[in-house]
Amino acid sequence: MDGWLGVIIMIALGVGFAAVMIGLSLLLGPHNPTPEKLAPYECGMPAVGSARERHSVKFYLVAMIFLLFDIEVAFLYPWAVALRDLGWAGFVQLVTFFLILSVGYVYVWRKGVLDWGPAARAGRHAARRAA
Amino acid sequence: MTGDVLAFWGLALLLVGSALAVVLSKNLFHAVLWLALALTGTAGVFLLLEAEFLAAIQLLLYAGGIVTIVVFAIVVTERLVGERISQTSRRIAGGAVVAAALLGLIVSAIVERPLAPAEPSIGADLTRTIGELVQTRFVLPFELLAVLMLAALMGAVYFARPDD
Repeated sequence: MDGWLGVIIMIALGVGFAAVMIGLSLLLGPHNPTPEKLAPYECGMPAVGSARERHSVKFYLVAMIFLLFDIEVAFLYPWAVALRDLGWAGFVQLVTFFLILSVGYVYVWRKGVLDWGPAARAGRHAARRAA
Repeated sequence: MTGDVLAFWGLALLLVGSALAVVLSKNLFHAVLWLALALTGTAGVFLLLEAEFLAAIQLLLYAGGIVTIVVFAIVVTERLVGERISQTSRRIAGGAVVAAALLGLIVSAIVERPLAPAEPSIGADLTRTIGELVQTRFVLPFELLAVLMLAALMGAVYFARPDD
């Protein structure tokens, strides 16, 4: 646990600063809410519908893909630390690992998981009409 | 030494408290936030055991990745059954009995076979050792892991069917 004191001080400072700021504004701030103040955007478009409606499953897919590539990146750390000892053999093994996973990346890309917005939807409709 | 003991008991309190909050809070989203705190506390335990790599992975994958996935799972499935899903905990007493029995089992195992008084020394840098082992002795499982992750990726895309 040597050398972690700085990290602990940093965490304490971060949490403490946030807590003090929110606590002070709760204690000292005036509380007289009006409907305008409670609206999500005080000026601008009035909000339409509920913010808590269901989201598209695409968000979940992106999170899933993120996690898998996160694991991939996690394997970079120990390899990078032992880089000099492993030499070219380690490099080739890691590149193989990445190549296998890049097949998945290409698959995801070609399946249109990474396409968002009206353009992607229009493209899919056109493809369905053509089929 | 006392710093370590103090940190351990602090982390233990944090872990037990946040884990209980995960199980007992009604709001699913609050439960996820408590889960994030519990996973971060686990990273602190790994740091105490001088497993820096594991702590970093715990933060990166569990507190970062898994929590994100659970949040998206809630956001995607909310209103699926018509109204907000709230967590209900039934049979808390039975669960407490099972948990106490498990605790007794673990404690009796530790008492029966006492732990080594001194920490076994690892010698070299742990992260470096892991890197060397993964790339030499365990290189086949390492490459097979890529295939497994590829299957998970394709399976997720296939089952979610974004084309429909």
